[in-house]
Order: sequence, then structure tokens, then C-alpha cells
Amino acid sequence: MTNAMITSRSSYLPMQLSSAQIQQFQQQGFLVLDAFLPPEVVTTVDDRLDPLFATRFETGIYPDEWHGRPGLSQPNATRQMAGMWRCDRTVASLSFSAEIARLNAQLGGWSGARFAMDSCWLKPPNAPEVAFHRNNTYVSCIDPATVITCWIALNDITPDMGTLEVVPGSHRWQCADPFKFVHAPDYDYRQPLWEAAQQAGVEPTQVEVKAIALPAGGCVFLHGDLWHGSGRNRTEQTRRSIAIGTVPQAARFQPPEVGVGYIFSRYRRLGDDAMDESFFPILWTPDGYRSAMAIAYCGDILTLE
Amino acid sequence: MALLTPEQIEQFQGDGFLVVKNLLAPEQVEPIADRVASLFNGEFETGVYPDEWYWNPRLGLPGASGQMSNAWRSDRHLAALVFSAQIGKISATLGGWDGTRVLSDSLWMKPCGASETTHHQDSMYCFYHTPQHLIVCWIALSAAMPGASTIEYVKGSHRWVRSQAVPEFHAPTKSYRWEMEQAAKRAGVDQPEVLQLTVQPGDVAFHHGHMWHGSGKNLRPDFVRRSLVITHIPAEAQFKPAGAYVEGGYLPGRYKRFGDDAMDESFFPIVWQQNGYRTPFLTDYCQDSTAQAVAAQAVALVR
Repeated sequence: MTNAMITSRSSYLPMQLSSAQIQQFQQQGFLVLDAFLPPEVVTTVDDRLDPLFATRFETGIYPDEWHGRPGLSQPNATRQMAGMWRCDRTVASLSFSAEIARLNAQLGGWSGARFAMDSCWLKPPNAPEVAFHRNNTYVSCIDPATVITCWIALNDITPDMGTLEVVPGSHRWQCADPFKFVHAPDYDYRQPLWEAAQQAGVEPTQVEVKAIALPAGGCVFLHGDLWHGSGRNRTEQTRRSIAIGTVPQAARFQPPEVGVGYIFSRYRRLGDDAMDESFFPILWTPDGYRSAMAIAYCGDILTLE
Repeated sequence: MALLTPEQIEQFQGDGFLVVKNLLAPEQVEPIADRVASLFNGEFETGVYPDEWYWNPRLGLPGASGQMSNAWRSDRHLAALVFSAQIGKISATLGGWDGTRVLSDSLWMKPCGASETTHHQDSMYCFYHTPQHLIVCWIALSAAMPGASTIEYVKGSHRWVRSQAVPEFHAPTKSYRWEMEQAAKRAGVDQPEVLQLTVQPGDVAFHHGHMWHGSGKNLRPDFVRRSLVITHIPAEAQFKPAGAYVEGGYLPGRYKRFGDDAMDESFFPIVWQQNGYRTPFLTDYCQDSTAQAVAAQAVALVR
């Protein structure tokens, strides 16, 4: 699909979060919307993902992170790719959507939103577990180290498909989450959760692990400190999802040596703590500002006008 | 570290590659070789992920090739070799440049059973900068020999025009030389001459950006072929003018700032320049592992 083909208006209608929904997010650390993306948007974006894993990149630019490359990985390996916006402008039209950025910012209580990362997670049958973690751990080189993530189901996802598991209220726990590689842990994938609960003084019997079931196009917004992970896919279906994370508009890099650089501090310029808009564009502000790069690069698949 | 002789430069120009035996001493190579497995295991000293990371023990197919790019961001010991001023100077000499900038590095781990790497030209992945020159330095971190996935060159193929990127880089389903053989036909070459290197740790091969090269399957039991590749471009290089993105930009294209053609030294440092300049951050980031020790001066040539 060319960039020009996504300029037609989708059937997406602007989402107005109620005060009850915002309050739920603040209290629980997540918010589920069973209906978010229209079917045609889901199909348009999902159709772009398999070609990426076959090294067919529309722009010729490679992603920031790529696990589960065919020929080099186990057949049941989770296929995860981050920074897909660089490879494909149709995917970018969702990753850079002002609407998702607006909703993330509203839930975060921010005055504007800057793109942090997109990531797809395709879990084939028998795909392994993903260790419990907090997303904020992975933006620790950013100030403030806080990210809100919109996690979208691209097909119907049931609990036994290795779906997302969240722990309501765990975003308030006072505990550490050491940076780790989350794929296919050689330990109980919930072990980091139990250790965090113990550190936070929460009895194991009080820890509720909630498996998120979603229809295609549904989404869940995640607070950056919410503990989450996922189990093994025990079905014959591939679980397909995409996540889009944003940070506050005013975010900058932490001083050098603070936090873990992961895939972010690669883009840090010497002697400059700015998050350059060429790499981390501003997607939404109340006055309508968007980074020039984002405007020039792709359309907005959820465009409302 | 020995300077190149006129004969070596002439050989490079004629064949498209040059092997310099014992360019690096064991104490320069062994510490890097010892870090390869832990890097693929995700143990990144700086906490920064490399730009590419294909294969890890948890998701990787046993016996598959491991490849990692721009691991200099992840490990300063490795960076100390990637940013060698001396190696940069050799590339500048071969390329006829005033200075050398590092475009990227690539770390390879090919255990027994690792599949072929499709023959390709590095310039297929590096054509978005100007001047569009490219010298690639292939450092043997382990021994490499025929039958164990050593690098192989197609003599004189640097004179062939640049082809489109190969569709299957790792684990090809066609013969790993098929794409090269098609390019040979286009170049009017009926019998391309493929040379498989036999090298020891510390031997270094330099090749032209258009050079066709690849490697066969590793069939040698209990042997892991390891190598580090440094891609050099002229210090003066900048991005060609582009719109909102660098078409075909592979990894470097990620680092182009919108509306700016400069190749920022934060991402593409200058390692050697005739006037003595070197990107300042390198001094703080890592040592230059070739700055002091000088390898044996033997520079036997391999054809």
C-alpha cells in the first residue's frame, strides 16, 4: 500500500473518555476498550506485518528491534519488532496517529504526547511466555521515565492464546524492576511479579492476575508502572497485537549514565539531552502542533478531517 | 601496524580485496572473541541494544548464524577495535580518502551447522551517502577456513555494477551463490572465480564496497567461526538529499535528521583524518585498542 492509499477517511470516530474511565485507569493502572479501531484499519495495518518479517520493508529502513527472524529462530518463537514505523509508512500512519497520542496523553495527564516506540507481538502456537515487567523500566533513560501504552488486538484474543496478563493496582507498588530481556524466560515468567509483590508488601493471595480478552480492534491502555506479562500460547491460533507507546511532549534524555539506554539512547546526540523530533516526533498537543517530520512522512490512518 | 606497500594497494585495486596477515596481535583480538557469545546472550555492557541482533539463545534456532550490527553502542571493548584509527587509516589509503568515518560494524557468530550467507555486495545496503565510497574491513576473530563458513570473494567483481539487495540474506533457499552468478552473467563473466580464504585470528581482509562475497555452511564440528566487520566511508561523507526518509536506508538511514544531510558524528564518528582530527567523544567513550600495540609486521599477501 502506498502512502497515498491511506488518505481516505476511515470509519473511526473520535473517542471521548469518560471521567469514570479515566478514574478507572488511575486506580487500576489500565483501561480496556472492547471497540477501538474499525475493522478496515485493523486489516490495513495487520496486512503490513507479515511482509516485514519476510524482510520486505517499504522504506528500505530496518526496525529498531527484531526477534523471531525466519530461518534464524525457533518456529514457535515470538515474532516481535519495534520501530516498525521506520520500515513501513502504513504502519507509521497508526504509530503516529494523533488520536492515540491524545488518548495516551489524557490518561497520563500530560499537556502533549511524543512518540516513544511501536512494537508488534505475534505469538504463534506454542509461543513462549513473556516475563512480567513494567514498561517504565524500558524508558528509564528518558526524563520523565513514564510511558503510556495503547496495546491493540489485531485478531480476536482469548486468555489461552498467551494474551496480555495485568495486575490491577500494581502500578502503585513501591518496588524495583531490574531491566531484563523478557522473551522466553528460563524461569517462571511470573517470578518477577512475585518478587515485586513481596518487595511492595503485597501478599501473594492479594495479587490478582487478570488475563485480557479482546476482540480484534479492541485495546487496553497501560500505565507505565503496571506489572504485566503473558503466558504461552496454548491454541492453534497466532496472537497478533501492536502496541504504541508515548511519553510526555516535554520529555528529554536523562543525564548520561542515568537509566538503561535500551533502544532509545542510540538516538541521543552528543552533548544534547533533547529527544530530537526527527526520531521522537511530537504527535499531539492541544493547539494542534505535530512535528514536521511526522507530517511529511505519512498520513494519519485515524484522521478525523 | 604496517603501512601498506604500493603492491598491496595495486592488488586491492585489481582484485577488489586485500588480505593482511597478522595485522592485529592476539591480545587485540582474543578479548573481543571472548565477548561474542555473551553479546549474543544479551549481555550489553552499556545497556544500549545493538542496531541489529539476530539470534539469541532463548528464541534462536540451535546452530543458526548470529549476526549483530553496531555493537559498538553496546560494548566499549568492541568499540575500541571498531574505532581503530590505524585500521581507518588503511581504509583511507585503499580508498584514496583524506579521512575515514565509521558507517557501521557487524559481528558474526557461525556455529557448526550455520547456514550459508548469501553472496552480496555491501554497497547494496549503503548507497545513500555521498561520496558513495565504501571500504569494508573483515577481521578474523577466530580462524576461518574452507568448509567452516569462511568468507569467500569473487575476484574482480568490484568492477560489476551494484545489484539490487538480495531477497534472502540469511539461510537462503536457493544456492547461496545464485544471486552472484546472475550478476556475473549480467557483467559478461561466464566463470566467476570464487576464492575462499584461510585465515587466522588477527588476519584482516579489506574489500571494495561492490565486491561480491558470502560464506558457505559451517560443516566443521565444534567450531564457531567469529568475525567482526567494519564498514568505512570517507570522512567528508554526508547523506544524499532525501525527503522525509532515506530510501533504502537500512540502518544508517534511521539516523538522518529531518531536513539535515549531515552524518552526525554522534552516530557516524570520524576515526582518522590526515589533519589529525578524530571525533572528540571517542576519547571518552573507549580506548583505541590498536593505538599502542603493534602487531607483527608480517604482511604476507593471500590471493
